[in-house]
Amino acid sequence: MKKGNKISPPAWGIALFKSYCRNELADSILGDMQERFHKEAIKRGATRAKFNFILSIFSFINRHTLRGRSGRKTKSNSTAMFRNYLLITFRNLKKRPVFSFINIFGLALGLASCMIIYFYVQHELGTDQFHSKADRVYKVSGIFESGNSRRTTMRTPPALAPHIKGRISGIERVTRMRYADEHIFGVGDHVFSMDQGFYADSVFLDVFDFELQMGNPQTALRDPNSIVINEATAIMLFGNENPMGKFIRFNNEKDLEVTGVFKEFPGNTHFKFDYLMSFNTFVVPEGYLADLTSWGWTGFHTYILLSPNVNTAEIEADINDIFKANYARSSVKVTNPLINLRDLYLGSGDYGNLGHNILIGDWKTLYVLCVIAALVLLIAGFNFMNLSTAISIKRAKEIGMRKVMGAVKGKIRQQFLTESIILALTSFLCAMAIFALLSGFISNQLQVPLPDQATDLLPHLPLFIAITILIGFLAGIYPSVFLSSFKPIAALKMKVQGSNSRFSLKQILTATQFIISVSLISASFIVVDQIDHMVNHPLGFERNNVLKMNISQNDMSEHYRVLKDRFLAHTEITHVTRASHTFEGGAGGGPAWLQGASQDDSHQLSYYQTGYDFAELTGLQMQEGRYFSKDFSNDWEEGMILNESAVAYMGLEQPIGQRIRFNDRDRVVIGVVNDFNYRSLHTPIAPMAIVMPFGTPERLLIKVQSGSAISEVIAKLEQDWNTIVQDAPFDLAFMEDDIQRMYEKETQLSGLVSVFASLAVILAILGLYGLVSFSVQARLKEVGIRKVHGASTSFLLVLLSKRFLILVLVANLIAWPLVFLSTSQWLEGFHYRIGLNLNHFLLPFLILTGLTIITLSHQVLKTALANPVDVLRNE
Amino acid sequence: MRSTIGEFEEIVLLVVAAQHDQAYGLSVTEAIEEQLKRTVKLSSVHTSLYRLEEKGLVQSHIGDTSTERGGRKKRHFIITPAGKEALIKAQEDRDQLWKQVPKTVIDLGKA
Repeated sequence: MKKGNKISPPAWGIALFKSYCRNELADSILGDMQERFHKEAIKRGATRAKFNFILSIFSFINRHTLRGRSGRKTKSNSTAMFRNYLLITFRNLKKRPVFSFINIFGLALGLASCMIIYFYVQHELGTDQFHSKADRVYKVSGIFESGNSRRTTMRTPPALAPHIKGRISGIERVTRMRYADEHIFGVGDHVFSMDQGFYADSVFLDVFDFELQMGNPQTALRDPNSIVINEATAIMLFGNENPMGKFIRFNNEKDLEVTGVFKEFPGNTHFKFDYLMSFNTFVVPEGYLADLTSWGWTGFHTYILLSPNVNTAEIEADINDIFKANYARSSVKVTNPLINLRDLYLGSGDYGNLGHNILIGDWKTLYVLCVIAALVLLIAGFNFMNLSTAISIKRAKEIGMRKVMGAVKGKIRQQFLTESIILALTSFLCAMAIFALLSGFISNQLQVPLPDQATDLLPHLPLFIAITILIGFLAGIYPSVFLSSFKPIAALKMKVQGSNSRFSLKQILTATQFIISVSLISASFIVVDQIDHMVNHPLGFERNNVLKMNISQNDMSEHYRVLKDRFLAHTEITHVTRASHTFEGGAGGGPAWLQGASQDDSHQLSYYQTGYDFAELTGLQMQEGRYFSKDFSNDWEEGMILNESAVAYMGLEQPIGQRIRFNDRDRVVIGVVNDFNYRSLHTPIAPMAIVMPFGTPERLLIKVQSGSAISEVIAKLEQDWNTIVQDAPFDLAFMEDDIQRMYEKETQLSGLVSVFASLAVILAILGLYGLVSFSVQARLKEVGIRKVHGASTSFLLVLLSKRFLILVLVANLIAWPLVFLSTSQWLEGFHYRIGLNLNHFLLPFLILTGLTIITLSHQVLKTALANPVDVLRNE
Repeated sequence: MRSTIGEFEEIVLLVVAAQHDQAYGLSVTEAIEEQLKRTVKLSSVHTSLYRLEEKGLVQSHIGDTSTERGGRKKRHFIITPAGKEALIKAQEDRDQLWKQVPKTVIDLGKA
């Protein structure tokens, strides 16, 4: 190898060496190494030289060469420069307060909304994760398939738990539970109505980690008539007294002994309960066909605890075998999927028959929210980038001066990255303030639980700060690269111009922001529309002006007649009747046998028990036959009405007169009612029967004449109630509210989407405002010259705003198909859904265009109306 | 200040003194390799030089460069008075010990 050949040591090696070696030594050592490399290359060849070069890079690592705190001679000047960067950053912020505000506040809004979404998602994901055995706890569910019909149920028959207990190896514990209906609890003279509770056995407290602050978890739920309550209930019932061993009068029937008080639950859970009663307190309600040995009554929750490391598929098969062996209808294919406790809350959205007081989340909502959070952050980040770049043109002189003073590209890049990260961190502080201000309001409005104490926030801070720094860094890359490339002389002469190409990065970013904004507005319109559609869908019954009163069975049987007469005496009240259920999702359920069918061949029907006036009061439409009538004395005992779905389900060609055994009685179908939605509109209408009360219904329906003053009517009702029934709470609600409650999740989603969509629009408009003012200011002179040459104001207005309006148009064209695709998919999840129409797309377009014009007009008008002399004078 | 120096340090210091104004990392390394036929790592010599500098036995300053070095400057080392003292002391110590070695054991003249 000859000397002079262009052979050089590997650049990466040099970089590696520089990365660890102190600056004051690096040069001389590298020089030595390079000299040696050359000599060696000549003597022994390049490969050998390279090899030795790289070896020596590593051999040089020692305390003399490594960078450290104890500087050998001089202090590094990077701290000094850093201080300078800080100073300049704050001077610049002060110099341009409007843009600093837009920049910081915009990002802060974005960050705050992400924090809110983060906590919501965290809350949902954390559901039931606190149970220490959560990975081994499973819920037994059921899927019943026959022909085209498929019924999913989260609840199982009461006989299942005793049958699998001890018979399947690998199952350690089995617990079953049932929700408690709304009951009246009395202590002394005080009565309370509580509906959030369960019947559960003592194994329950072993499987789940609901700890007791008082009482023994082993025995608390062992004996009949025991009740364990939470602290709030204890205080409500007993004040400050020790509740242990005290008695609570249950439904005026029997006394329950308080055997335990819960600690506050360590996290949220899919059970919603204030109290648990021992399972053997449960009495099958009067008139139910089934008892606790039934295999057809899917009204109980069954949870199992598996031994570690068992095959769940085998257990599932074993349970299924037992189920099939006992379940009567062989024509139905039954499977019993096991749902792990950890997946239960978010993964069971498709299941029906949840029963009361079971909360099920929706991963789709979480997904939508995460996407929204990312989009909002993206918009805020783009603003940040665009504005920094735009401002930078004003800072060309500073950059030029820095370069003249010896700053290299890398240093300038470093400066702008530092600046960007500092701004992002400032935004984060503002975001914390915004979060603190808004969290109360938002958690109330949207029913989103948010941490309200600083200590709850603390563990999440490192993550937020890391994300903030990352955003600052990413947003700073483009401005820093762009700015550091200025030529010093041109920069000092202020000849630097932003790129003039038609598709500059700035424009692409702005267009993307608009695409996101339009999409979010469009999507929120569609979501709100769909929710409205569901809540206001013609449900097949009249729900306006209907009041619903909850009455205990005792009071109902004792006072029904008197109450009804009293209420009807008021002229505003047209109808009063009673019913077992009132369209809020629940219904009774039981098997029905057509006349002559074998024991195995039953059909599962939901049912309502209603009084005579029910159809008239709620406006149910008869398709065939008639509703119950006092003229037919047999109706009470044997009358039965089916809905359309039930007729189709049982395959009846001549439904009227059909004899059916149902609820332990031989009944005759006297009428067919049009289908009405008694459950959420997510699901189609299930087969249902209506019968006259065989038990005692606990609900009174009161129809008020439309146009009457509701509050006065309610006052009169309460007065009547208090004179007739002295010792029970007056519990009245609007049926409308009940129905809306079924759509809580959706209403929450539509609220969130609307809020964040508006936020995205605000951010995009803020960014636009900043951008417009810069681009217009850059063209001040051009406008001045045009004016001197006689351009009209209207021409100038068009000239200045054309580009931005085109941008909005293009953004819309791109956004529409995106919105169309994503929302159609979302709508698939609803049985009753709206069709997409032009309004969903045109309206957002008009809104955005309008906002753009308003934003533009301020700056553009100012520029177009400016006196050209002022603009051109300083040339 | 520690006045004692190790064997390798002594050699490095000697070479620095020998090359007078022209000593730098690589030149010292090459001198040791060529004259003493010892393989020695560039990094060991550098480390040794820095340690000597810490002890105040040598002083360094930035010097000239060459094309082979890719324009990087040399760090020249010169011996300080303390360094000279240390070398002299080391030599005297040795001489004293040598004198005590009987001619019958090692005869320098015949070796």
